[in-house]
Amino acid sequence: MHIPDGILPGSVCAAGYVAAGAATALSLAVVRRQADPHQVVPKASTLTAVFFVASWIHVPIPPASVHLVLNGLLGVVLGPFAFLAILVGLFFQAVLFQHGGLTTLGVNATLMGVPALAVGALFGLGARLWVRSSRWAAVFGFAGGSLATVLSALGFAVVLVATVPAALDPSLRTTGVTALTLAHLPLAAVEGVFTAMVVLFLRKVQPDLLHGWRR
Amino acid sequence: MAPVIDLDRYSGLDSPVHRLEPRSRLLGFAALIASFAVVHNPVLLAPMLGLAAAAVVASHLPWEFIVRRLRAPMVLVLVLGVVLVLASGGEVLVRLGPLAIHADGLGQVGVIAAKLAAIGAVALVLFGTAPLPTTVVAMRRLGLPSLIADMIVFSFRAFHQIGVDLRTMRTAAGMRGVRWQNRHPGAPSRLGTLARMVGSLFVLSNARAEQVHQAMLLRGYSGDAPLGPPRPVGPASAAFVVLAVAIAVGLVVAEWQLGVAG
Repeated sequence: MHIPDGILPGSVCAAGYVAAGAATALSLAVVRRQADPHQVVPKASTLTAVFFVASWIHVPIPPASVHLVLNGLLGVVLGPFAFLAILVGLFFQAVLFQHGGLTTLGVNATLMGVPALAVGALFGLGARLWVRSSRWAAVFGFAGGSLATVLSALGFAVVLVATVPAALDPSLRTTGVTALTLAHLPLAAVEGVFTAMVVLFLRKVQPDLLHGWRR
Repeated sequence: MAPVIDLDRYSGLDSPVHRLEPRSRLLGFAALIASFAVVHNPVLLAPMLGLAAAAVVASHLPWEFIVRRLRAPMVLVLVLGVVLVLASGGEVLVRLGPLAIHADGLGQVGVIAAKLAAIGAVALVLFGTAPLPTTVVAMRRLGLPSLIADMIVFSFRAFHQIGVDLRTMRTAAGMRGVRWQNRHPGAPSRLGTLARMVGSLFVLSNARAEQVHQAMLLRGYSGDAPLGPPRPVGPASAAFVVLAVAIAVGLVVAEWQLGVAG
């Protein structure tokens, strides 16, 4: 789910950077309200590296395999740090492995990071209100993982199909959005199950790693 | 599973690009990359590719390194290209049974591939001619918030160890009978194993991060590590920035003029 360089018009790339800049400023403002945000930096950085490394894992879904997006899981674990972590992770993927791109970094970060922030806020709220039982933790974990994937896939489909092929038949654009989103539904289900499993594991082993779990 | 990180393997070479002051190199190449993103007119593709090739030649980076790294995104563009060539409207170039190859789609694929190659090559020159921490310090001097700069540097340092941890966990799971290949049944249980592995990575890495943070505090870390005096910008670096920005502005103006004329 990365748009490479060269595909989007310059104006869309610029708009992506403006949106990512706004989301970054918002995240930094929320993070800086913490007593000492730099105390959280080593943890957030290490978890960013885990996110980056874990996205190399190919999950076997016979007869093929998929690699996970994990933006929902990052929202669940890092809360307001999730956008910054995704921004840094995508920067590395663009610079170190040419997955995604530098000119499309703003668009990619916005489309993956904003759903992660939304999921983080939802999970944090759920953790404060209901999610302490394992059943609710699984429900919120699944909802977070799958919702973030669906929102990102929908965003990518709209951006790609609406901006790339100027000569594309208009009816094909609608079909394209629908097809791209539907194609991601199995991945969203896998992401939801995977996120729920990780949430249940962390709830049992180290619950204070989950966003909103700390009292 | 974990790819090798070798972006800065040629950062020790001696070339005019390597000798540029880091902020100047960042500003100049960033301006070129931004202008390449704006280019769409086919007339400007040849100059754009020529500029990218000149940057690669001036940096002394091997062409094999550039081509190998651009292969994966090019494959993605080719997949998109097939859709564009077959589904675009306009003049039909060739008919192959039920399939029609459209001129508009073919032109768009060419533009996209050229932009990807030029932007990718210049980005590799930018980040491949200095160690990543040097470029991050330059970004911080140019206004990147220290919190994000710290996250980039700490994450970069953690990659290798986490990759090793993941490989060890996979080997251990394999020795306990977990089979990763798709021809083996039991995909759902493998998903559970992978989830526990990623959960364990979070726990293990968080514990390591706590230790690193304690060690950093003992060494006086307070979040805003001093950067030290910047390297002076020499005449060659200043000239490079002026030239790169002038070329970038020229490309954007030319694109606009050609759009108006067209």
